[in-house]
Amino acid sequence: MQVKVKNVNFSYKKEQILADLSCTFCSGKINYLIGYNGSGKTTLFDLISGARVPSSGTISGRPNAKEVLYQTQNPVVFGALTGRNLQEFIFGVATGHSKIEIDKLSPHFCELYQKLLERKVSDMSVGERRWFVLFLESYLEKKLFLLDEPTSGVDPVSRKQILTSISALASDPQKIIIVTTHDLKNLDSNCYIHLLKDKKMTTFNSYADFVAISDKQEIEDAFAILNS
Amino acid sequence: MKIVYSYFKTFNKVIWSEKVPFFYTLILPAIIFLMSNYGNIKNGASLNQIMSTSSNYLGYMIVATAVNGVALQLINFREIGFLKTYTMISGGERKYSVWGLICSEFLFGYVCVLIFSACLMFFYPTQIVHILVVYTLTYVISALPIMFVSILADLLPVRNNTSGTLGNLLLVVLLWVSAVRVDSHSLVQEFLFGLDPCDYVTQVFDLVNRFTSHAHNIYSYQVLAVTGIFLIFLVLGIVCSSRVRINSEYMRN
Repeated sequence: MQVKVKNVNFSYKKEQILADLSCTFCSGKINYLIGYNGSGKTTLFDLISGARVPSSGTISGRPNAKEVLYQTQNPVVFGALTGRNLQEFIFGVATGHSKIEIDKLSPHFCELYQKLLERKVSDMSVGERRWFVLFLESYLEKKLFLLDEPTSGVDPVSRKQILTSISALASDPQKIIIVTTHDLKNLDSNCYIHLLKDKKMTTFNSYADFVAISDKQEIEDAFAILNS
Repeated sequence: MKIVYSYFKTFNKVIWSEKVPFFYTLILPAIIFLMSNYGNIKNGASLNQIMSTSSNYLGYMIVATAVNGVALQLINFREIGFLKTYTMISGGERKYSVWGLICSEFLFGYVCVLIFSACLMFFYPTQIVHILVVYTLTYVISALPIMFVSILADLLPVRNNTSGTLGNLLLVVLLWVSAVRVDSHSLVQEFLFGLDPCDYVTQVFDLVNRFTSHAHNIYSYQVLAVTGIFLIFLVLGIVCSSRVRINSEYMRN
């Protein structure tokens, strides 16, 4: 399964954000979309999801709107709800979802899930909230997941939980997972990396390919070199 | 319908968990109404007289619910990214969350109007059914199109932090226009005045009250004006509900 972006151009008012951008997102591994702040990552998500329309170029291979999930940077949830209410809400407004089989969850996730079900959303930590929302969204019948900075501002334990959930999603060959992140040190090593720089995209088919840019074999060093 | 119902259920949980909307939608107008009319009620004023004065209060309650509960809430949902995320979860359909919001605010508004009408029922206990029928019919005929047309606020290029001030200032102006103007006896003028949602409510109230009182002076121009506005508001709102903007205009989300 692939989503192909071909020669896409987009501008906000008079500022060009993406210029003749082409890239391909594939299933099987997590697709990390990285770049400077303001480089156009969220805009590209808007275009892929259909929330905005490119001024020219094509985006092909994306599933129909019913099968796309777009989680913005700050998941919007209502503090007055409990986790159980939130689950009923997300599953209720979705076009389809599979059942959560608690006995198939790891003991840690099972305990976390059951704890958060009874807790008010306003009493959850930021990380717990993000993990819980992503956990519920992973059961929705979607084929394309656009996750905008899912680990931004969360504690290391919650981050690990979220990344584990995302890796599990990405292992499904019928799903394409695209994640924007600035947290380069915690990327899953089994991934594609797409670097958005100067309105264009460079794709690396593996973590190793990306890191090889750096003499020190450090991902942040490779990022700095590629952006210099 | 199942998706709309899920939005309705959740928005209801959120609405009923907050107390402040009750204060400015119900308690404040009820207190002012009672303080303004208590003397007349005690002096034996007829139900008809008192109900006529309550129509502007009803207009305020309905339009306040539409402005704050639907229009401003939609702008807020757009700006914080709620519409973007949940539109995609709901299969790309923008109207489901909007309709769910309207249904939940419709229920909230009706409960407020019912409690307000109970103030009158207390003083006129023999006419409870009449009061209930008039207020319910007025509410259904006026609140539904007004809440749908308030979706148009999403088209305005206003910031989240100024939309509340502008919306409530507009409410005051609309209420004042409705309260001070005199009956024009003209279809065109009644229609134009009726584009003010507060005035539309008073027109509907007047018609429903006359109809349920079996009054003989139900004028055709009033019926035509009310019907025309009902249809225009409703159709505009339904068409716009599928076209609400889901991207923030001022804060990229």
